Amino acid sequence: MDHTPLFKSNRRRRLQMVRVIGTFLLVALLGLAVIWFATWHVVGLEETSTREAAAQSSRELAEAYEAQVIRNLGAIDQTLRLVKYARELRGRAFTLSDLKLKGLLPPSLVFDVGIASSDGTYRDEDNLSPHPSAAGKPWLENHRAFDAGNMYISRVQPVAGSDTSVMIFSRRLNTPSGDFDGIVTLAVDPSYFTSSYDKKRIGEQGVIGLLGQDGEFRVRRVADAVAIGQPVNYRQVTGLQNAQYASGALLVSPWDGLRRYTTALPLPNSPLAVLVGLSETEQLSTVMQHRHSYFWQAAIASAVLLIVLGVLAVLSIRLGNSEMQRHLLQETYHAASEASVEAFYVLDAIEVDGKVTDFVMRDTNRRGFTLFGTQKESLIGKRLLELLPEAAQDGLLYDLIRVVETGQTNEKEWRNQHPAIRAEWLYREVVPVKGGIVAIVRDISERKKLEIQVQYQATHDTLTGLANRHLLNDRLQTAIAAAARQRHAVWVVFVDLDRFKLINDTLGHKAGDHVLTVIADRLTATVRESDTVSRLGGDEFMLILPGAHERALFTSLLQRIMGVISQPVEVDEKEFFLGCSLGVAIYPQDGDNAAELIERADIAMYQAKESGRNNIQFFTQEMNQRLQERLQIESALRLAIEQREFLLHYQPKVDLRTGRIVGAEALIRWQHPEMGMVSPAKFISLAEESGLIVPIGKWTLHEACRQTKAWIDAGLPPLKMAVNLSARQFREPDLVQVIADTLHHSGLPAGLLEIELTEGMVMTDVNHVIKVLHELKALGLTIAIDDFGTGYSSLSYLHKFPIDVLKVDQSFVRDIQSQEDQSLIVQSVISLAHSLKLRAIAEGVETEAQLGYLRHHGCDEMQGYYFSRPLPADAFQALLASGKTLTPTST
Amino acid sequence: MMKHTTLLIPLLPLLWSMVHAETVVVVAANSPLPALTANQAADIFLGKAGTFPDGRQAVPLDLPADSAIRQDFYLKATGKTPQLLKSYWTKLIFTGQAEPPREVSDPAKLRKLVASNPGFVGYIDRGEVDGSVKIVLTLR
Repeated sequence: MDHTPLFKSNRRRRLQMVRVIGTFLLVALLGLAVIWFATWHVVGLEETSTREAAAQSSRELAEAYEAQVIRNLGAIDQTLRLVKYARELRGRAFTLSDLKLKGLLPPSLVFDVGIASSDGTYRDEDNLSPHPSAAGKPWLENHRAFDAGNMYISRVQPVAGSDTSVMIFSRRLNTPSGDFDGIVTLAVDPSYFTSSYDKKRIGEQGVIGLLGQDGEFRVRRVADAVAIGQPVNYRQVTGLQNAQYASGALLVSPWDGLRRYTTALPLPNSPLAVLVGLSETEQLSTVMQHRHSYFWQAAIASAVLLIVLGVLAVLSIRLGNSEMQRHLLQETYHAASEASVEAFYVLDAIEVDGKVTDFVMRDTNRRGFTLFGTQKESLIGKRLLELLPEAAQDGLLYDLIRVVETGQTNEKEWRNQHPAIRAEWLYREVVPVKGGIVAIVRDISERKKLEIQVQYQATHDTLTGLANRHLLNDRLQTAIAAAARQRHAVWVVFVDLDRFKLINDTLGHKAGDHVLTVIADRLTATVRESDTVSRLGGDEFMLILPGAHERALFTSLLQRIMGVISQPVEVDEKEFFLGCSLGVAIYPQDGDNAAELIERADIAMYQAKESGRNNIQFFTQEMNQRLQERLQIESALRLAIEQREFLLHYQPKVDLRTGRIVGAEALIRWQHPEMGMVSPAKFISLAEESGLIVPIGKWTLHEACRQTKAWIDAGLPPLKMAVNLSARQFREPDLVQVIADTLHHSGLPAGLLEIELTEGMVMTDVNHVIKVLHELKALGLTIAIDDFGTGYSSLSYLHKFPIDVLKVDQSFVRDIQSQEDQSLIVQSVISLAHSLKLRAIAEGVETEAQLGYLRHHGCDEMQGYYFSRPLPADAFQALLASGKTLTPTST
Repeated sequence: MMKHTTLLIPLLPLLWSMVHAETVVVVAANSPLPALTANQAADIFLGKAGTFPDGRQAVPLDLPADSAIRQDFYLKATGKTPQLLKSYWTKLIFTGQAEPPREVSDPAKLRKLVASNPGFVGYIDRGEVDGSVKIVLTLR
């Protein structure tokens, strides 16, 4: 198949038409040539054969005629001989009537027999009309002259008194002595000799006659016209010498100018020649007719030929057009199919006993045979089961048969197992057609792989390869459904790694990732086949453990998990130890859907964390309640600032020497309309976790400064306002700026502001702490270390910090009375502070004894219920105004 | 008119005969032949048939050519004029296919001949008929 582009089709069409017309013209010309040539040839042949036949006929008729003439002449001669014999025998006594009576004379109707004596007069006659004298006539005188013993044949003699004529035949009569005794004559109308003219044989223009070689045409008959005694010589008629035969020669008859096939047969021993001529025109008339009809036939045939050819030409053009269109269609089809990225196969169904059992490949395109890794020829004509034997077992054949039987198109994506086909994932669309099916197949391996990949990525954690949140949800839902059916439990375990952040922050993300993968592997290795391990994100994992109600079994599994996680993890050749907090929620008792269970596992996990980490907590309703409460508080907390639900209480700080109020610690209080006064214990940690501590802290700072300024403006003695700073706040990058702005805004001198930081806060990220502390100091603030003694201080760092105050934690102060060693700590803290040139303040002083002890050991300030609890602003103001002091005690 | 006149002249003797005589066809009195139709007679005398209807050989006899009875007979039986007869016989004689009937010079002789043999058949004027011959056909 040639692949000329489609745009050439019009030109091709015209070309085609020209070709067709040309061909048909050629054929027409040829056909016409053949017809006319054949006709001409046939006509020619016919003419030739007719001519030959005519010549032959002429010859044959002449011969027959000759025979007749000879016979008649013979009979005439016989009569003459008879009469001569009888006369010579009986002499003068003889009369013709004797013979006549005996019936020995020829019919007198035609023949006139007579006897003439030597002088020519007739003595005896057969018929009544008297004969003229024969004297001087050749028929007498010749015999007189010579007894040759022959019959004399005369020329034509007119009969007197009529318009007829006769020819006279005579023989010599002899006396007994042999002398001339007269003659016996027989006269006959010359036309007698042409009476056998048969129009059927000779035609209307044929001629028979007795031609004389002596210059007289005795008798000549053409049709019914008899010409007698014409002076014509032999040569004129025959073109030949006397005695020469003309044998069927085509000659022009001189008497009427017609061309005749002429045969002239001279009779021996006679002046006569027999002449037969067949008219050329007549003989050939049939030929002419035939010619006429042949040419008509040829003309008709030609016309028919032209018409038929014309019709054929038109049909051919049409066919050519449709052929071309079909060709075009085929080309288009071929081009499309070859170019197609889809493989397609045309298959014919094979039926056995009315059921389809197999298929035969009829056609395929480039993609199609490439897919099989072979050539087109290797596929065409083969049966499906030959090419793909597995098709009978894996359902492919079944699907194809279904398409034929139902007449419905079938689509499918499938993973190829047939070794014959070179692709992993395929999409097929099978369409029923007449007699079979057409299958369009696309190699979707790429796409599918991509899909699978995307799917995998959508459901799995990139780093660890574990299931991600989505997949987890799916699996959990499935597990729940299965558990519901089979009436068993599903454990949902939230695994949070302890101390992961430490590693991540100190060693970096790469190390952190490594740790996560290690932990992930360990988890996967520890759980059972039916369990799911997923990573929720960060350092959080979730396990789904479907199974029976065996709590003990699962608990031991969880313990194993904890053990496995606490195994050392090697990072950069160093070993690290992690722990984990596990929270467990169980289906069906802790929830009946995935979301609920996950949430509750989370709550349990959180509780585990709260309970000191490295333990397992099972969800309880209490936890839930607490959580609810927490949530409640948290949401209320968010609104608290706006709703102005916060207020500050101030606890005075008293100088132990002077007994005067020298400062105050601002303590945040939350007055919720419904919950009432919410203790800081409840909401501070929440605020820290949620980051709400930052705005709350800001507000606290702001309010404290404002209040203090207000008191100064009110004329009250100045005091140092101490505000607690949370670790969270401390990490804010704009901390220093915020404090500076607040001071500026409130107008409070920086020297009257004290920042309290917990010991735990400052001992991490020491360098950063030092930097910030210096910046704060640069503002002119005072810095105190709160809850001193409870954290893990490094004395060398303490030395580096630009701090001013150490606050002894109230737990030590409380124990002053009861425990000797604790009081020793107080003592040492005070002396430590003093040695570092810091002031020492004791928190939570409640008894006089404690007071006395503190005073005794040189503590600089005290804060506690003994003097005053934390007071609201106006109460504090009143206290200030009252000038209440600490009563001095004896040392 | 001219035509008819011309035609009439040769037929005058005939007419004369007709007025005065009747042509009859006769055979020997002892001939078994009961009758002859004009056509049958014509066939015999024209040489077309050589036998009587009953299969016996038939030999026709003619009167001389110029005889009125002869002309009458032929005209009535065959419808041919002497010219036609002549040309009829000419061809047959020439081709040798047939001979005209034997001529008998006068009616008496003819009658005698006819009577002599039941094979002969001839035609005469009714007046000439006698017991030796019987009429088998009367020509009208």
